[in-house]
Amino acid sequence: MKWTVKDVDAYMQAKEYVDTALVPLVPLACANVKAFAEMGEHVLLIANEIERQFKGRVMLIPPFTYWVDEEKNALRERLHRWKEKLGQNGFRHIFCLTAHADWTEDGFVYLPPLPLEHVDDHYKQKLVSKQVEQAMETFISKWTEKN
Amino acid sequence: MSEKKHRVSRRQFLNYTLTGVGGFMAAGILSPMVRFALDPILKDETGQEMVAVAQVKDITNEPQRFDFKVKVKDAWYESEEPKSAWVYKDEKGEIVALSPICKHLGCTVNWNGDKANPNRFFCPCHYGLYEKDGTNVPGTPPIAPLDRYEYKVKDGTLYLGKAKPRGEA
Repeated sequence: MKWTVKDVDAYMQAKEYVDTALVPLVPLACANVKAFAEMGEHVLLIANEIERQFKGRVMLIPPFTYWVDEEKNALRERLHRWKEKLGQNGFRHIFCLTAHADWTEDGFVYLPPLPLEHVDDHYKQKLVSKQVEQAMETFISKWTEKN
Repeated sequence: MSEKKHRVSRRQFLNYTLTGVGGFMAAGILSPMVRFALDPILKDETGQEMVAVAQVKDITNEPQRFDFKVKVKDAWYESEEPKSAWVYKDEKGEIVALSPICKHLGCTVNWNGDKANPNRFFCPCHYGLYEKDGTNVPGTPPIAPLDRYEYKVKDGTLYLGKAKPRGEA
């Protein structure tokens, strides 16, 4: 489900079934902008596809946006609070999606960015589908291990 | 002789020309307005066109997933929405195109997705199950069978339209 009126409405009626939050991490930068924009685009592309396939169980949270030169500890603390808040609100599984190799913590799904800039839409979908599959497997294994 | 009868006075001539020109202008203004007013009625109701999805020769007895894109208009924003369909031929050789959207909360179901339940559609989110023809297995979360796409075959190509609940398609 997405953070839209229609989906949130459905979420309120089926709260007990939606136990997973997906947080895409989108970096902002003033230097080397192209690489970071690519990371953000890539993460959102995959996050949307995962949401489409797992609509009934995954809530796609609006992106967690940060400056790449933000102070590391404060940044981690901020993300931690997001996750805490989500956890308090009934999300038992929280996944962060990133293409930025700086993040190496638990509960992160790392997607190495693909050079998609010059790729046709049709092939783009094929290229990312592999990564989507892998990410979905991570989700499924996490779901089954606790049940 | 008759010339006299047909003589048109200056006043009449002006009247005729002004009415004529005025009528033209009024028609020019009104006709697009009438067309706009009637347009929604004249449009056919299907709205969504059929989309080419697969070649009929590729369709087997085993459900296969085909991805395609449908143009959707969300307010003023037009985009392409990716969609999928599970397509197979049943025992009678008829094509069945099922929507992969789980009737529970809208996840995407997979054929043979669960090893414990072969030859069934499986929803990984809340372990919903469907038989091959889309019927929901009792005791699992879904409460309705999978939707079926309207389809037509033309020159060996399968076209899919809207997904409709069973019984309507």
